[in-house]
Amino acid sequence: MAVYILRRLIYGLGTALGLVLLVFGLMNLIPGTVVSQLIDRAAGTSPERLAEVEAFLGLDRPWYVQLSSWLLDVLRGDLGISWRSRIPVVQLLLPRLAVTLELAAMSALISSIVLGVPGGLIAATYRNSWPDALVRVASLAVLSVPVFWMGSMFILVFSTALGWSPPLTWVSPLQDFGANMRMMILPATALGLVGAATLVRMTRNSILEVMGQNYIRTARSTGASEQRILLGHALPNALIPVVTMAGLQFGFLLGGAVVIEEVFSLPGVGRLLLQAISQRDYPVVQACVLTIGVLLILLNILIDVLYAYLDPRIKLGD
Amino acid sequence: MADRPVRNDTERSTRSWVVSIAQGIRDEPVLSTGFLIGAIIVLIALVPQAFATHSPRATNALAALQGPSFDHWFGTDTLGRDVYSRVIYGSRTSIMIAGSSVGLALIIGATLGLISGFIGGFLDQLLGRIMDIVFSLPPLLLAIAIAGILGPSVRNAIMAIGIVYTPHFFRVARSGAIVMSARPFVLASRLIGVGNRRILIRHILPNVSALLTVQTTVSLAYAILLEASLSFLGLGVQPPNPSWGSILNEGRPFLQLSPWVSIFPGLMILLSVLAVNLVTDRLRDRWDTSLAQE
Repeated sequence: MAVYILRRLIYGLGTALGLVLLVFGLMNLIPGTVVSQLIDRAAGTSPERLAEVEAFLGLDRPWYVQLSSWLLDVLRGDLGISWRSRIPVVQLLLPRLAVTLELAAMSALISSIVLGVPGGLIAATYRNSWPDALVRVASLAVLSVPVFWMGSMFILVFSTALGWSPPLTWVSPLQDFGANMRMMILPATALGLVGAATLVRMTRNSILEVMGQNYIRTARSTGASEQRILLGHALPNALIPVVTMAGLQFGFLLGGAVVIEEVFSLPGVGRLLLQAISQRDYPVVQACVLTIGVLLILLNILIDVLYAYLDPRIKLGD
Repeated sequence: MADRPVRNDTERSTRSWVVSIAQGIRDEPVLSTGFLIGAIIVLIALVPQAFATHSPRATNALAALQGPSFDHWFGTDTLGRDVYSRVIYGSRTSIMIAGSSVGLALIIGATLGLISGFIGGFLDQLLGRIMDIVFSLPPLLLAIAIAGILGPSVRNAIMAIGIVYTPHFFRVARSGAIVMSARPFVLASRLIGVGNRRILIRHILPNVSALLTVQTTVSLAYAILLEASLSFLGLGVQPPNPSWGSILNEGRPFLQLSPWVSIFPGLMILLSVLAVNLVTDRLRDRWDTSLAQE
């Protein structure tokens, strides 16, 4: 097990390195140096001045020197300094990461425990009757909608019908938990709804598959009630693949969080990334991509370990 | 069946396709509905001028932000442009971007995947690692990063979405190629001296095409959503050109004042993605796609 985790970590490190190379390569693909795009050309900046700025930012060095010095800094926990605000990127990133993770975690809870598993359970119990059809159609419709549009429609419905308006400044849950929840519940639900659509279908199919197995028949023959068979025997086994899926969904939720943050004006990594992209603040872009990538790589390893723990038939590292 | 009336051939062939379509609709109502909606949307995308009531770019300051009416079915935007006509013309851009990017991913991903699975070895390892890197980020985030760094334009949006979905096709084609190249008929053709390229194209490709078709429809649905997100964030189609996402972007500041600008393009996205999803769902059930799990 330890060897397996170690091997996965090393492989994950390689993937993260590749991700850095990809972003770095893309930035070097665009014509002209970053500086010529940063500085307004209409201002009539002299070529000497441009070269000076390039040297200041270290952009006059060959790309491999830039890359390796950046990587060495990252290993020391230094993600560089924002070109625009001159604030260390770590200081910009960490508070925003907290917002994004809270949003993703809340929507993961909503999508799995509040909506996904109960929905799948209902659909499986009433298989091929109207509750099943309703759940299936609803999940298919939800999967067909862009996350941000769902968010906009939520705002529209809640603001016009219920007189609710999104608060303007973000409040940390440690500061004022209630205000934070009021702010996060709508974006988290919009995001969680989309995540739930996949989980509902998966839970339903998984339960139906398990219900057809021999041990369920044995349980029936012992005279166990249908409810006990479903909740006590079928559900625990049916949920094993769902747990994996829910973990993989976290990546999707993180991606969706980027746009949802924009719609609900939440100060998360997504908005930081979008802002950094429009300002061509590349140290920030690099850091955002790398952080989320590393988070997801670690999460995937965790899911595999959890999977092996939940299902003793699975042996890791073979 | 001995007492079946004998019909002449021409009568039978003209009737048979009408009957078979009718039968198809009866047997596959879900698939047919999906196909029908999809076909209408593709038609709209091909000849928007036949459906639009106004020019998608004609501004009219006097008619700004009007609600839906007989003249403007979906209302008007801030510049007084007809939202219905913009949505109709936007279909062309949205479908074009989604289609081209999935086509790009299919061609690159499937080709590399087939070769990688068939040849194996170092090349397979290398390509697999590269695809894992692309896979490590959520699609939307990666597309935002790529389109954002390359700069907002239609071409870059197509590239971004294409890159994001290439690994999906790669994996499907690769696993198909691995399973198929171990089958006796492939070994037999290799034994009688059939070349690698011919085996790949004539024997392996046809056998993974069902899997690739399902993957194409799945990706098409996601690509439509992804284009909408990119354009909504200002990283795809640029104003004044309409696409479903860019109209939503323009409508955003007026969400509460004139919600119709935001509602109708979204419904159009819902309809088209739903159509694709309906088709995908049925294709998955009908075709044995268990190969992907082997």
